Amino acid sequence: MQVDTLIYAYLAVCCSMIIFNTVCIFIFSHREKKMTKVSKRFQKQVETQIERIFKEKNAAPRHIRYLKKRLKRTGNLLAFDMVLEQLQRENPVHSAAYLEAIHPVFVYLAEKYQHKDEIHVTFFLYILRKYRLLHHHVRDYTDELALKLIKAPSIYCRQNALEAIYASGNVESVILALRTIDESGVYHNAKLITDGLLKFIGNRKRLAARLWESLPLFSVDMQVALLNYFRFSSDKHRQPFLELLADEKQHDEIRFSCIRYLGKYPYRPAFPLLLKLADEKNVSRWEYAAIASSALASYSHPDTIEALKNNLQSSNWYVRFNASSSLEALGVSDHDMAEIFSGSDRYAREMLRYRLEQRDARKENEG
Amino acid sequence: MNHDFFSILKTFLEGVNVFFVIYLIGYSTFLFLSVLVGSSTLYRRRRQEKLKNTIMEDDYVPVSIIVPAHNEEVTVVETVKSLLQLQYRAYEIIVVDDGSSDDTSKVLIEAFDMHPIRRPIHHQLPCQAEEFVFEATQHKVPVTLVRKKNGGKADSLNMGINAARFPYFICMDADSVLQYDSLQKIVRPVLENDHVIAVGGTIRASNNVELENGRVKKYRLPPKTPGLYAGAGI
Repeated sequence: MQVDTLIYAYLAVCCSMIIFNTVCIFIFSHREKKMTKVSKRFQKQVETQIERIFKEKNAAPRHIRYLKKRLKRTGNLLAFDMVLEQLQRENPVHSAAYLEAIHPVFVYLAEKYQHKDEIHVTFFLYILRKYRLLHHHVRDYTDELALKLIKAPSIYCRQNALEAIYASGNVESVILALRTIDESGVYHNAKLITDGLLKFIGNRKRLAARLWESLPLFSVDMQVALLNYFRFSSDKHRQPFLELLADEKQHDEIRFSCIRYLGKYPYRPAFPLLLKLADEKNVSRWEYAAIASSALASYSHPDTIEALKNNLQSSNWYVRFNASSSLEALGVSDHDMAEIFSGSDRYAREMLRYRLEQRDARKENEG
Repeated sequence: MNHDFFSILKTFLEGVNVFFVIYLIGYSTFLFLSVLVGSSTLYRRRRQEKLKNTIMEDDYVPVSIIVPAHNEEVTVVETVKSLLQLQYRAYEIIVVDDGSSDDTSKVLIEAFDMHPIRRPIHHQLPCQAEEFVFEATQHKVPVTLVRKKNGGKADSLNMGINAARFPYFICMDADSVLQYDSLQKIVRPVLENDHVIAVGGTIRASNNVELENGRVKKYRLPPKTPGLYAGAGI
């Protein structure tokens, strides 16, 4: 009897597995079909409204009400995104006019979506960013929503919120968002910040000015991310970067960013300081010598060659590696090459030989 | 005496009976729970992808792919070709020929038009000395071949790590293939949390699977039973 019961239980478990799999397959295929159906329905409505917008300059209030009701569901928003994406690809003018006409829908949705799970809000923020909906018309709720979600535990939600703000072109919102994320203490990868800022759509000059002004208000990690942004975006900050580098009280990472900036954008007044840093003898501060050796590739001068030749004999591998790279970039003279190759330092010879062979291979590939 | 013996035997057999039934139920329940957990995880991931809960850029973290190869002249070229097709920009490929007695190095040099270079290698980890280094920079990403004396897989990986340009590296076999978007996916945990230092992936047998540029095009069951066992054993 006991064994019978156990066998029935076993059968029940097996049947549950079969039922579970069948139901899953059914639900997934049904959802796909439903999505296509909803998407077609939206498409018809959008086409009618576009005609109306070009005749009567606005969308029908009934259509607005319909969208407000339907797009509260993320599944419907997904289907609507498919329609908008196609419209934007095929006719950007119609797409812009249509989005402009239905902007109250997104203001309404921003209020509704802020009470939903992060996964749904993230998608809504993605839509705001994709169609650049955080513009002046709908800033009230949408901007507020994006700023609120900057502190979200999900990195995707934060990133989509940040990108929606970058796409808004509002400098003050960007500063506020970065300060909020910095003060909240949540980890947000510095590369995401740097690359995200590069996507900013708006007055970049003003953004750079405001970021520089607010720099001391940020943590060291955020400051490094912002300094890296300057390195990839503008050569107009050479003097301030030199001042920051000269300030020995600054954090090492901040000073490393400054050296990299001044390596990318050569600035004569920075040359003596870079030479001094490349000559760093303190083993625990080898990064200064390594990064400065790299930066010196942009400063062609006999003193640079001497400093780099000395660094080829450094006990630190990275210092030698960067010095050899800079010497190759500067085009070492035959005299200097002969001196290095006839010297007793095996590391220096090997490094330079490698760089020269790499250059030959590059030329061969290009030729 | 006989009666006692049969009584004990009967009890024993009943015990065995119950044990196997419980074992079967336990095993099937475990499978069922695995299906539930697995499908809910897959569903969540699929939903996340669908609702754009992902980081879309693909070049935030540069990666070195290390391929130790010992007597792999048949597969190594195809492996490197497939690695060159990955959907990612910032990576390099380092093949370490672990003292092969076949033409592993030769086929690679010819297939990718590699040139010899006297590249100094930073020996941070102990490994056999390199015999020669070849590089090719004309492809989508740099391809490096380091030939060294035979020292085993761990020794080859150490050499690969020594030669790697980037702090994050992936170790794989010369007869394996990476899925086209594997690098995009594997760097995500690193972006999400700065305390992440290592990420694992899933290895699957690809017997009777037709792959094209790291994507599964077609698959079928092995035609013969021994093939099935071979597949399961990889």
